Amino acid sequence: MEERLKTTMKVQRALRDLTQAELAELANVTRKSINAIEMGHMVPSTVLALKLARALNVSVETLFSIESVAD
Amino acid sequence: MKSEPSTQSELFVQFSRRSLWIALALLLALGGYAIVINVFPNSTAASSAHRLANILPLAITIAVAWAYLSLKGSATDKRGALMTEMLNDELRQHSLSLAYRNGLIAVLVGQPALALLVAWTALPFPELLMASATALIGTSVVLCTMLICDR
Repeated sequence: MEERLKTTMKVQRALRDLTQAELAELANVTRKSINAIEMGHMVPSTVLALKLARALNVSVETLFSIESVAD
Repeated sequence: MKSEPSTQSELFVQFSRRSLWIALALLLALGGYAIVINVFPNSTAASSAHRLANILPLAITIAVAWAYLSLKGSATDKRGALMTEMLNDELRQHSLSLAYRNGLIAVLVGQPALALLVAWTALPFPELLMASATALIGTSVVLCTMLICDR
């Protein structure tokens, strides 16, 4: 069983009508980082996860979860 | 109001990518030059490489000017802060770690191959070839990884 990070960031962003660039600005990162996290190419640090959750006004658990994938 | 700083940030990302491309191109040109003059010191390829090397300073000047063109329109008073923000970006840090790791692996893997090449061929300056090829391989892999991952 492999464990992967699952994120609802794209959904949360769409709910707030925010673009990747706008969220990036709110969280003080580049748009590329937001894109990489949404695409599952990058696992954010705890600090960045907290910043993103705060920017989207949700809890970290709402934004990120772990999913188990069969090998 | 929101879109302007995002655009500013994007300008620096674009500048960074252009700079990486320029560094890679110059590195390949310099590395290629070093290898050609080491492996074929008295050939026409070496004399052509010497002639091409003369235009390198001009090429560097043009390339740096081209890179700075991407910063056109950015607020000059915020450049330092935006550059720091871009360099501290988590994706960039992640790409940099991966690039260093790949560069180290490439340098280590390249050593036996270069050693065999130097042992089997009669070169005038084998140590120089080893050094220049190692530097070229390592830094090229670092820059290529950065360009691939930091997108």
